[in-house]
Amino acid sequence: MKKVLMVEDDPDQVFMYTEAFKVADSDFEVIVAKDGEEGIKKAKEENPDVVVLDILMNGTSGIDVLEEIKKDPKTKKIPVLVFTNLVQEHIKKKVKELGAEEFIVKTDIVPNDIVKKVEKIVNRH
Amino acid sequence: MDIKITILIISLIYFIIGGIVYSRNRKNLANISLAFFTYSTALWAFSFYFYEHPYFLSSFIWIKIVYFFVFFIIFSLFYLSSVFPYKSSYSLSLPILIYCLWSLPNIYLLFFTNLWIKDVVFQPSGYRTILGPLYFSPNILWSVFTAWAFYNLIKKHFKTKGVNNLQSRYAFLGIFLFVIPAVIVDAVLPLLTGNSGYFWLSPIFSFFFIGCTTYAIIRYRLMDIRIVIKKSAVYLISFSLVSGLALLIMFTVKEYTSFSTMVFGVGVVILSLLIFDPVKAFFQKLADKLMFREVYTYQEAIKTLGSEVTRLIKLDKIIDLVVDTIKKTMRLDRAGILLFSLKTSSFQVAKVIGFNQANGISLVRDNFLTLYLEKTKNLIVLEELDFLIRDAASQEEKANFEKLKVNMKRIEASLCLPLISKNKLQGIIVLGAKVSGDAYTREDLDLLETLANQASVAIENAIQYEEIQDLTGNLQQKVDEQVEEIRKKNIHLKKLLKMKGEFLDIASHQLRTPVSVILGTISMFKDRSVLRMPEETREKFVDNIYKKALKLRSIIEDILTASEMDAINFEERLNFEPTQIEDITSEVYQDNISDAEKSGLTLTYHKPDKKLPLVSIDRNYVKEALTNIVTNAIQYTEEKGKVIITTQEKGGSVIIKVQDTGIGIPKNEIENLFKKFSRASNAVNMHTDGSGLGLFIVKKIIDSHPGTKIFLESEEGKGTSFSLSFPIIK
Repeated sequence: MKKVLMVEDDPDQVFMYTEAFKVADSDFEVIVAKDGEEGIKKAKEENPDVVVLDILMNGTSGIDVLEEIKKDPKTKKIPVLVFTNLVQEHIKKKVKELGAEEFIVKTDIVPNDIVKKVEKIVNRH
Repeated sequence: MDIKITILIISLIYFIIGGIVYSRNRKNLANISLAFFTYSTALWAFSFYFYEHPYFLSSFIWIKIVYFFVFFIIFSLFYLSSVFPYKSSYSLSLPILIYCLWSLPNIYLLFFTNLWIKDVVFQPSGYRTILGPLYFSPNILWSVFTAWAFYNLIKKHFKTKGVNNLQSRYAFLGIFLFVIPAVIVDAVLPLLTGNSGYFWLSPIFSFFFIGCTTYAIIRYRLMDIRIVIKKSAVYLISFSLVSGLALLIMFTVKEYTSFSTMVFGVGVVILSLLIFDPVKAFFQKLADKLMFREVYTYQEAIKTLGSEVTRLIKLDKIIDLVVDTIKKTMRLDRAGILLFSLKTSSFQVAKVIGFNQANGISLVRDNFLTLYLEKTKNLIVLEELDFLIRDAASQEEKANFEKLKVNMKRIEASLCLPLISKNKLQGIIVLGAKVSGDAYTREDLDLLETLANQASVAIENAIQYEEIQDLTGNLQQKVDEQVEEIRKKNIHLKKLLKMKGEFLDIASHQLRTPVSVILGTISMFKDRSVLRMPEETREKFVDNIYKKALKLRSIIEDILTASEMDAINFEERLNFEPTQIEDITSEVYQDNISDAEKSGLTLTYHKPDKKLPLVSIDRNYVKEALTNIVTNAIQYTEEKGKVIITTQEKGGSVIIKVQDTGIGIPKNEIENLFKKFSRASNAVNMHTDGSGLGLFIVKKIIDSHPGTKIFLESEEGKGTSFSLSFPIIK
């Protein structure tokens, strides 16, 4: 069973995406981190196969989390899928620079497709 | 034609002059005595002509009549010297008595004996008088009184100042030019050589005296006598030289050639006319160098000053130059310039030297003097005012001149020279008297008038230049100010634009978030994947869709409210009614309690002990404001924190206070907090569902309620407290 770490502070979204993974009969276990701090911790402890990362969160932002993951040799190989409702180009550029695998706008994609996207990324690696 | 006809012509001229002098002022003793003198001289010259050309009576009788008139001439000369330019202090009765008593025996000698005039004989050269042994007798009388007249005039010349001085100088010059040659031809030559052949010249010499004295009496703006002498000398010498040369050429031509004298005569006349001007110019230059150099120097200096001022552009320099130069070159005791100031609407001292400023020079307002100067555009000389008063045609005119005199005396001015620009009196050059006591001569006044014209132009230009300079300076300052203002506005706009950009980023994020949940959840219904989910999951999905739709609606409402509040007439749309504040606070408390619990906070409401008084508010808007404050407090307070709402009456107001234990607001940002799209810097990293418009809406609502105030206390990390204070209805 593969692990997807979802870093997201909105419980409603966490609920929706977790259910999507469940219903898709995917080979994924969803680990949830409800803020950035927890995200960094879990990325190191759980050694997930992929990280789905929100940007705008209380306290530590997604950018900080991404930086931290890519800095640590232990975690830097983990593909990170940035999943946010921030649409500004400079943020997109920034996360790409920091080594994010994908930059996806939440409203552009439905939960089923995000599951497929995550599977694809994991298979690629 | 006999040259002696000039005597007759002169006598006729004298009759006319005498008439003019008398009619000028019939009461003035000087005019009367000069007229008497002129008539006597006219009759004397008239008789003299008949002595030379006997008609009706013999030459022997005519010469006696000639001498008879001399008694009147000398008498009026003496009398004139006693009353002109002013009346001598001594009584005239005694001298007159002496003159009369002394004259009577002499008149007897003249008409009834041969002891004075022995005979008249006809010679080829004309009639010749043979004098008797007592000829000296009347001459003593005449010499004594002529000398007395001389003495009077000399004394007055040294005692007087100004115009009187100049008048006496003219009279003195006249008497000198008349008496000396007359004594030579009438007394010295006959007594020494017995030749009385030049008697006929003496009436002509009398013209000098009559001319000079008449000029001095009837004109009050007199020419500088030195200039008169100089000019006469230049003309006389030039004329003599040119005509002498012409005669010499004529004579030579006549002697040695056979050319027509007529043709040569015309040629010589033309030549003379052509060379007269250069010759005159040469002698003028020579005279300027040799005779009365100081007159020439100062005239030149004033002329140069005129052209110099027009080259200056700085007002103070022009004024300095004019005042200093006039005072120095004309040797005046005082000089100054007053300029009309638009600011004070009065004449202000631009520069004065020698004036006692406290004595009124600085007090010139729009008075009779300035009005007169503006109207007539002529200079006023204090001394001339006496003549103008004397000769005034009407009482009104006389009173006006008296008034002018008073005005001028008050500012210690001897001469006021108007500076006229565009028909307006722009300023006055005020001058004192000459240190020497001399009067302002006609040449001085002409020079000063020319100078004043040039100075007015220069001053006008300088004032305009200053105005332009000021304008340029002001303009530069205004431009700088506006540039600064634009720069500030630009910074402000940039800031606003940045805030708006940030707001749009946040707003788009906040709008997208509920949309993504609604869309995502519904997609699972649509593809029927929910069918494979348990019932409670499906129910949770519906709840979430509903909740997110509400959030979406609230954000949209915030944006609409904010843009509505930007409308100009927002205040007019409010609906004020007496309201019990407690109704609103409990509603807001009820609405938010569940959200607070979900966020792990305690929301408390302290009800007031007694019923609060009514306040006049728009219920809906105030509720919106309070809701915004409370939701803000909940959003920016972390788990386990507290939010407390209290209401109380205090000092004529009802106060709602919302206190939290949240992140607080940095001190330097409190000011900006109520601006549109503003968020405290430490709130950026906080994930909130807010639109960023909450406090802007609160402030707008509070500001639209008269007398209502908002207070904010906050400490970073400890919490924030908002108070709304509403005035109680009286």
